[in-house]
Amino acid sequence: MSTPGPWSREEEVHVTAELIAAYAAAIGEEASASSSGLPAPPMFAAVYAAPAIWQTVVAAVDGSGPLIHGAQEFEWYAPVLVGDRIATRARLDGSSVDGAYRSLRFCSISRNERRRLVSRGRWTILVPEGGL
Amino acid sequence: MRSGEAIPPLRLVPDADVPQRYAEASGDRNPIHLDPGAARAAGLPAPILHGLYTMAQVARCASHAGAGRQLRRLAVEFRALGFPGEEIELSGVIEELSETRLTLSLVAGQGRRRLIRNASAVLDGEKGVSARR
Repeated sequence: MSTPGPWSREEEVHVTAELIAAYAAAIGEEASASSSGLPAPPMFAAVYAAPAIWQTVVAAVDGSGPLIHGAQEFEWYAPVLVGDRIATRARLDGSSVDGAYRSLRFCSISRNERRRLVSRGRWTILVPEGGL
Repeated sequence: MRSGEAIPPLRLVPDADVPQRYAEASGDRNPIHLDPGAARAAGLPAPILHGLYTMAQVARCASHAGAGRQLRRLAVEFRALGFPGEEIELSGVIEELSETRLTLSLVAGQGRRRLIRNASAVLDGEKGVSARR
């Protein structure tokens, strides 16, 4: 177990109807939230958290080989609507070696432009020590 | 609905273009999802589905079972790689049901491969009531 790393800089994503519609279509969600005023699908968190989390992951693995998504958790709070600006910070929470894999645990925290908590993410990324 | 009862399963076949569409929508353009050569170089037989795409299907299955309740938490363990062109089957069981909370356990598989196991979803709010800001 290692100590947590520093928080990343805040990465902001402007939520547009097009962004939600593209995501909803990609996952097969027929009732797109983009034109109805309904919240974005919960897993849209994978979109607005991506810039912060992936820069943190890339910095932590330092050019290591293929990455495997080991586990994932999201908690959702305020809904995400068209026009929101979602800002996310991420950090490396810790790492360990588990058999043939190095396991890295990250967290992300996303807030809207009113600074209300939107979601928390816990991301476990596995790095195979000898490749896949 | 009561504890121990199975929820309606969700079945879908992600077509060959799903990884490309998901990559464009999510920004995750890891070549092992898109490029057969990159997949082979990583020791994979073909491009694989994004794990978060499969998790999104678990979220959809949980939300459908919740019938209007809001998904508040979802945790999954990824256990095997998913591939386009093969049916994904999602299923689950009601672990807890109260006036304010519905807890589900779910799994996702492709054939004999268990893509996701130990998925746990918590939904709350009254049935049919949308979240408010």
